[in-house]
Amino acid sequence: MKTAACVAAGGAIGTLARYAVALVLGAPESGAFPSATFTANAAGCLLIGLLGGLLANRPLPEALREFLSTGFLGGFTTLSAFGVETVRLAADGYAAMAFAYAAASAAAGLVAASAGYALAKAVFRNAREDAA
Amino acid sequence: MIAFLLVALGGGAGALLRYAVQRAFAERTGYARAGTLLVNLAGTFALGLLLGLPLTADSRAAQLLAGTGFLGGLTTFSTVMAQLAELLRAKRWRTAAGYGLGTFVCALLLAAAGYAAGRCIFV
Repeated sequence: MKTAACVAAGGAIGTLARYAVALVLGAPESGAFPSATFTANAAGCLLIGLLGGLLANRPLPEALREFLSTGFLGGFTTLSAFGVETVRLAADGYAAMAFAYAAASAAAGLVAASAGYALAKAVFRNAREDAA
Repeated sequence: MIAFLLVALGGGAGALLRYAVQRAFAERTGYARAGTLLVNLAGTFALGLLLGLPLTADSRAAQLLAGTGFLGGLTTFSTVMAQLAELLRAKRWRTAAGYGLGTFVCALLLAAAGYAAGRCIFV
């Protein structure tokens, strides 16, 4: 119950943060690269990788873990906007941009999630060994 | 100001539903991934449908609450990538390829289907 409330709160904050990114970067003009969704998704993937690397060394309470991962980062990133933006680009005749956006999003997300995990795992393992 | 409230309300509800579906799948099947896939695909189809609908004067608030908020919060990109990175670290290449391609290809097809369906309604 507590965890569910934390997920809802994290989701509300994460979704607001994505909306803020969209307000700052602006809605993409027709045919332009959807930079707001791309930025939120890539940054969210880096952060979830870092969180995973931290958790590999140091467990956090379930409610906090779910607030951050399922809640905040789940709400901050979005597959639905990515999918619809890609389809709109293709439907408006910008097939190359649609392909570039889809490929860049997938590649950036996977690299960010993997690199974040490796980095945080190494940093927190060293910190733990230094403390020991 | 009201826009922020609509986005936050929708996002909180969407994240909560995603959490509930992931937990239900994890408990019954042992695979939280299946729950992630289900909410991601359903949410992407629904957003395509919503954004395919013709805009009216009232639709801005509905798009913020249901689209940016609820469906944006329901679907997730970071969890998919974390799951994929974990599968790759475990050298489960086929599962990773199936889950990754399944998520992306199906999401794009369903977004297109939803968008097309939305444009067919009320025109």
